[in-house]
Amino acid sequence: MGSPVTLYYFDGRGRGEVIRWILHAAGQNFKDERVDHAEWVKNPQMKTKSPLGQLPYIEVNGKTLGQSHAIGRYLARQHGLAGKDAWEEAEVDALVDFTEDIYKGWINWLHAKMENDPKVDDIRKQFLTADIVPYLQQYETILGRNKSGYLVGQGPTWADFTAVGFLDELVLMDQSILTSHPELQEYVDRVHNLKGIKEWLAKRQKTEF
Amino acid sequence: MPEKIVLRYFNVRGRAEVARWILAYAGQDYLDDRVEGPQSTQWKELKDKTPFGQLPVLEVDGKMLAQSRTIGRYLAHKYGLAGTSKWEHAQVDSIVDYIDEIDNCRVKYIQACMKRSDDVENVKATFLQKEVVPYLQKLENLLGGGKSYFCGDEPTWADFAVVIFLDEVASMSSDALAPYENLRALSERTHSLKGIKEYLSKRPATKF
Repeated sequence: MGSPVTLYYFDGRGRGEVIRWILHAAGQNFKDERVDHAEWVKNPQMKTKSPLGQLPYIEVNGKTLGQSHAIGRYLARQHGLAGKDAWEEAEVDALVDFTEDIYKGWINWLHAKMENDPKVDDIRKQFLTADIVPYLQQYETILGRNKSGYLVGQGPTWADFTAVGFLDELVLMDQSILTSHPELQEYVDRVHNLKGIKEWLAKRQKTEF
Repeated sequence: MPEKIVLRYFNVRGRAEVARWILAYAGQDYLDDRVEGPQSTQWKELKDKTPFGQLPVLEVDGKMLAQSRTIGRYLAHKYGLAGTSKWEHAQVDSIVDYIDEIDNCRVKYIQACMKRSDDVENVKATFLQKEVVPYLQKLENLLGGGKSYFCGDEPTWADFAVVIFLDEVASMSSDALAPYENLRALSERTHSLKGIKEYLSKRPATKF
């Protein structure tokens, strides 16, 4: 099942979580190394091991790879979670990037919240009532058209993991966000119940983000 | 029948430029369709027909693909510009995403320019003197040890993405790249590649 993988990331979901989902869904054993944030900030020595001086990165056979999506794609393609041919792989990539566009809006809110920005409530409202709307619609349209229950092809891909990981963050912001989107709620449940993901979610440590 | 390829984007370099470079280097015939600006009727009519209501879009025999990096990666794999092993594909991807991260900071400057914001000189200075520096330094180091390109002797689309970004930085400040010898050599080398050179000599001059 592939070479041993070590994932280095902070003790949070953030940009490490999709990588964890891919590895759990694939049944690949890996070391989920959690890096202490304060230690990372004050100790420049830690950054020299990372290929781009950032987290997350993975180590495989002594070699390192940075950037969450590059890691996700590499592992997903290795484990059959990235589409069945070149065109499907590209469709998966496009959806991962599409989710990334709106995920940046979520990060923007998170920063505002952490920095106690006085505009944080406006940012949250704009995000939940306006910015995400076309994205949720787009997911619904694609799921309606594709009919397999997943965004691309006949089974789950890492595009589903990034989309559902994002929807999970929305639900944490507003418990009722999916009540008017029953198809998306079903979709989230379907992905949460996948073998490997289900067991991971049951034992995952609680972190704020 | 050869494939019919159309790249649709606005008349700027922006997020389509890397796809244009890949197609030029590959010597692939394609239609470089430059759509009128975001306020135009042409775009309003086209918008709903695109996969996500966004440009750029690549059309291959009528099938559409969205998202600039996805388009770039698809074309790069097709024309042998994505590295030679799965691990190299991943390394190339990581450099492209790394560049995209800092290019998103540069976009703040473009937005300030377009809004004619009072703050534009500050935004520019923050970008050039602070934000971009660790990225350039990291890329400069990755090219160490006499490498011609990020993956060794042959170019990949990571080199194109980096050089396109360096061109934008150089256009903001002509001496911004002075401390980075390897990056300047990479730019020169990439600009002279067959296909790229010809494309650059006839590329429409646009502000962004």
